[in-house]
Amino acid sequence: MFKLNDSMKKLGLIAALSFPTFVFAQETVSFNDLSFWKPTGKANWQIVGDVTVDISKHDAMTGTPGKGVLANLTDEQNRSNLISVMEHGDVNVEFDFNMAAHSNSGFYLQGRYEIQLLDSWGVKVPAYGDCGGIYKRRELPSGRLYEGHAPRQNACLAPGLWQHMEISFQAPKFDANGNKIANAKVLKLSLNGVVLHENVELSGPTGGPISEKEAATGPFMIQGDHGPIAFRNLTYHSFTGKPAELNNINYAVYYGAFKKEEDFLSKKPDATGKLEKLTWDFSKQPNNFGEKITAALNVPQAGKHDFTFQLGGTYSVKIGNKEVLPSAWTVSNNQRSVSVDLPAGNVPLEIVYFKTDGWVSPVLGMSVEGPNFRETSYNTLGSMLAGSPQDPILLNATEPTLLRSFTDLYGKDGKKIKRVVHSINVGSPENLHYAFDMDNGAISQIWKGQFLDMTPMWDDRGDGSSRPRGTVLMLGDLPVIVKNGTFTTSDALSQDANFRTLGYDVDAINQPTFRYQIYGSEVEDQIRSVEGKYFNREISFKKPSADVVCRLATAKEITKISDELYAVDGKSYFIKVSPSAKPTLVKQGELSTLYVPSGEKVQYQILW
Amino acid sequence: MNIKSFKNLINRKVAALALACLATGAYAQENAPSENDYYKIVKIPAPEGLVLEVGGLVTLPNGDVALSTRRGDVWIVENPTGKSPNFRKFAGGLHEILGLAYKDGNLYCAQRGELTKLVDKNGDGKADRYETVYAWPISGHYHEYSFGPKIGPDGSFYVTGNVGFGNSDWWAGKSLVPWRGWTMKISEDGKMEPYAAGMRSPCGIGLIDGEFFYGDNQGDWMGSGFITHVEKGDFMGHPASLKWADRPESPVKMRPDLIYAKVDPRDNPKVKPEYIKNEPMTTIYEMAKNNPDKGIKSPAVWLPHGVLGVSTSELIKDDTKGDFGPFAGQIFVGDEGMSKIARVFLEKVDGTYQGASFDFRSGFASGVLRMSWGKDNNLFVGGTNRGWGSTGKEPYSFERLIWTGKVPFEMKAVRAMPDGFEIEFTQPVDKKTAGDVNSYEVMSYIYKYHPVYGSPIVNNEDNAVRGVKVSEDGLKVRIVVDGLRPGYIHQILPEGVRSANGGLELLHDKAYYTLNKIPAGEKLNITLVTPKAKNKKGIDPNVSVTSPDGQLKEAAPASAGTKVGDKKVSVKGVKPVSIATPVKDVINEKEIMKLLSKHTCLACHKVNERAVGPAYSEVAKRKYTAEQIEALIFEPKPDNWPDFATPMPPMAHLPKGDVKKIATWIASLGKK
Repeated sequence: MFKLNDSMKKLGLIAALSFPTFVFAQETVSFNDLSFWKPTGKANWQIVGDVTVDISKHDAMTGTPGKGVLANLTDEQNRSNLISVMEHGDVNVEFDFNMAAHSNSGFYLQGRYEIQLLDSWGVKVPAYGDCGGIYKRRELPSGRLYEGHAPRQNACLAPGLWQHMEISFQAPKFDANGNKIANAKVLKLSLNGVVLHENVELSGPTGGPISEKEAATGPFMIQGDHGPIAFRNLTYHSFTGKPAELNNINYAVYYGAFKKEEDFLSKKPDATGKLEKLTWDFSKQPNNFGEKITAALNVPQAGKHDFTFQLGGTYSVKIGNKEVLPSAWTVSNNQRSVSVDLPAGNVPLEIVYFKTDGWVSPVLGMSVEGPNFRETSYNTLGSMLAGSPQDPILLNATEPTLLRSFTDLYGKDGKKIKRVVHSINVGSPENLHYAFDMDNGAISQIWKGQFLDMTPMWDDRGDGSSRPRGTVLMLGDLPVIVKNGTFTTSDALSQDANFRTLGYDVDAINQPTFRYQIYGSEVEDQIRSVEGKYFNREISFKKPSADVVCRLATAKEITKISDELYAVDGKSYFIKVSPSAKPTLVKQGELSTLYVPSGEKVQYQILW
Repeated sequence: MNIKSFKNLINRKVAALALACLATGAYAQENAPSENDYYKIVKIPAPEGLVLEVGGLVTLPNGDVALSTRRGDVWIVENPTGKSPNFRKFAGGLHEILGLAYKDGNLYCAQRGELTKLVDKNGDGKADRYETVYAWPISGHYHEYSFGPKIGPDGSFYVTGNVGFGNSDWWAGKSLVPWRGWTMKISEDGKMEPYAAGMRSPCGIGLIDGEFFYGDNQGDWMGSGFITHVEKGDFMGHPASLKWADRPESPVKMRPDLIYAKVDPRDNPKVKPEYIKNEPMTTIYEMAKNNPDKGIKSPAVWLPHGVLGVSTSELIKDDTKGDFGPFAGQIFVGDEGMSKIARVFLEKVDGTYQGASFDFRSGFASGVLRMSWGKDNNLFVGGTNRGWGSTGKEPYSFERLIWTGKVPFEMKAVRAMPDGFEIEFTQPVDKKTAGDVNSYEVMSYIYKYHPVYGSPIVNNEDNAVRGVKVSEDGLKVRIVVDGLRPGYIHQILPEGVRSANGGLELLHDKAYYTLNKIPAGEKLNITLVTPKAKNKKGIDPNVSVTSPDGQLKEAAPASAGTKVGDKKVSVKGVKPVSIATPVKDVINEKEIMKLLSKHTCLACHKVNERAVGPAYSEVAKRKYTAEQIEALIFEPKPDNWPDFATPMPPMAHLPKGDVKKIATWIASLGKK
């Protein structure tokens, strides 16, 4: 009947402490010039304003004058790799990239470990050599390739579109004598929001490194000898330091059913002692206890530290003798986070924790990410054991698969925009899927990769919704059939549209054709995934109304790339429509709209 | 009944008679007949791995069964009564289908947001047209389940919709978009007519003799489960739906201010309304009576909470003409939470439906959601309990309920009479026991109409049985009962009545008669008597009660009646005696089990297993003191158990002494 949704949300807040601010850990690489990089002596790497790709040709990318984008515009003479001056060890790096059709490049960590960048658009089963793969090692001198790590799924978009990659890399470790004691690792890699790798151990450099000899640090290297590619928004966060240490951990435990901290803090503890690591279980009972833990966090480098706490019960936290988390009740799988600017040196830490709900599992966990160290846990493993997780319920589209559910649409900022209630998800075995809004005839979102996570709907009572399991493009739920005139980004149809859904027919292999009435016409709307690359949409009107048009896109930016190709929203996706359909691109205020007149049949493609 | 089973019956009766001589009245007979002797639950084999969370169930003209699942598939089960039924997927990908109907060769189902017609156009055994008949507004709240359709005599579709809830005030049913909490009547061509309002969780709907009936669950504004007749413009009690009553298309005359003038809605979104013990109260019956012409419909038949169910589901009429046993023409009502089916005898008095509810069959594998008659006149029963919990342990089930051909000794029907009730039995009664007023106990009570989740039984009074007349054939007994109260449930317990053949106890000894109207007519012309006050369950048998010896002949009704179970027992002309109920140090497990059963605790709790509520052993692990448990029984805190879907209602009506015993026992489990 009720759920703890609200209290389970991760609470985040920034504590304003009076410590001076020191280092900004995140570094942004400027693409106003090439100063971050070593000179190559070749002209292929250029600073440009933007790039345009002719997706009908191999390796066809052109740059436009300007700044902010790094482009590899190769020709026969100019095909050099690009190597940074900066050297890194443990690092998080993220960037946008844009590939020419059939192009091939790679992003090397420490100049040695290559994350493959490739035009893998439409590949159904990606291998190590596809976009987001970790390339194979090359055995010398035989040249035999081995190892290599395929991505979990293909999350690669169409060439000419901007894509986003995030990598967490852990450098190999060496002892004082220079002997390797730990392999390099890709801790996590995601492409267009989808995790492709976790904890992949790299036994040595992949093919084409700056050196076969591994080292504690090395530069970024971008492959430039194969084909055109462009980058923007390259940022990295180096983790060069040791984690802060938690020392001098003292505890006091009080037994009783306490209602607030004051009920026990002034009392004589039932027991006191010292701990090696944080834990709750110095209490001899799992409930009706109060605990006070004090410790010193030895901060190696001043700066912003992100603390995350997870305790079942009521607790408060003081850092530097200031309360950063007030006393509040949480369930065991609920976290609270706080960012605190800390000076170097010993900073006192105090946790006061009590619990009177027998059904809440006792847990106590704390982790910290510092300006130059990764998130580090300070509790024992045993202190975090609570409950049993739910098995996910996953639905794959091994054949064309339809599934009606509520569909939640999220903006780029991750905030929920709306819940589409009469929604149907259509999955294809080619791994390109869409959700159709039966209330307005719009494609609300498309995604590629795996089909649906049904857990939100099929576990327990559920909330009636499903979630896409791949990289998602939210299309704004914009109705396609609208009156000619002023176009908006509203998802609502006007009253005079007299929209009425009639449902859908399915063909022999379960592909749907939607049927609805709108503006006095009966419409058949067929959306088909083609080769896992694009959607072909065919809208047939029984009695097309003259003042009605098919609006293919409304966005802040729509750019005509060629006679039949338009890039939407900063090259987020393409619309392809034949000139014979008489497309019109209009700008009204802030918004551009691409539309075609309605006829007996309207056809266009969404390439992504 | 066929000859063979009749012979079996005779044999059983002889055996039972022998045992009855040994048994004492207070305890159930050893080897007494059980439900399973008369109605057998039989599993239907289904392919492994099929998640058949049954949301809809309908028998097709050829005897196949169409079954829809909460995961959105529609299966046709071919030869469902054979050894190897064949499961053919007819449709898939629908949104939590909670109903399925068949009409003119097509299937119709209610998804969360629309009524859908499933058509197999090309005859390949699979739906290829998913036609939206009508899409209704929906906000997207999880609780906005939609049920149906049921097809009316005019071919139109009845669909009902749950209310949603608020975000912070998750306890308060809300109609977030039009027609949530309503019955919608939808025509084949997609015209929707808002039909009736006031539903909360109308999972149980059915057509009875061409009339639309529905059942609801306990919840806010709903004291207990019930079934009732729904007519156009009716209001069933939950005020959330009235948000849309002013719309021009609404036929509903009821308005929320009429409720709030009488009952504080306590709609502070921050404060969950908790049970208040001694506040002025009203009932839905009183609301209807005081607001005539507003279409307020109080339940035709209440299904007492925790006894006959906790979450009413399908209702279906026995139209087997006797092939399914002695209850032809009666109504079976499923219950999800208690995995059981109750039985309702319905009659119309002065134009108003009312009647009696009885226990019928428990023990289904999962929560009973849907029922459909097979071609062989046995019952298909489909179940699911995901997210709701049920006594039956399986997450889903597809079973048959089969009559063995033996007739149980049951109250077949209870009819209201001007001065009491007429009880009809399935077998002739033993005239000696049936003719004794002391064989009967009648008490009456009702549920509050208020914004609190559920209600304890309130205003309970014992009704003295003052006279009995057994019919010549021994199949009917008229009882004259004092203090009949319209608007109240009259619990009739002919505990002492035995069957003529075999001296059997009743298989189920309680009838719950919802008395909406007392019929006019002739009263029974017999001499009234006053029953003995006697030791009842829940009263310490060691405390003696002074009571008249035998039946005191008396012309005038005893106004005080007997009040047993309260602190005082007073029978006219007899000195009131205080009854102490001391808690013994030694807890008698058997006694506790009887108390748990009597107070319906076992409907939701088991000793060592999770059921609708947590196991007692789990409660004990929280190390509450007995006093704390006692307080929690009277005022439960469902927030303490977020893993459980159904909040426990306050048990404020239970005798303190009993609760103390139960609480002490629960606490003691932790010490073992």
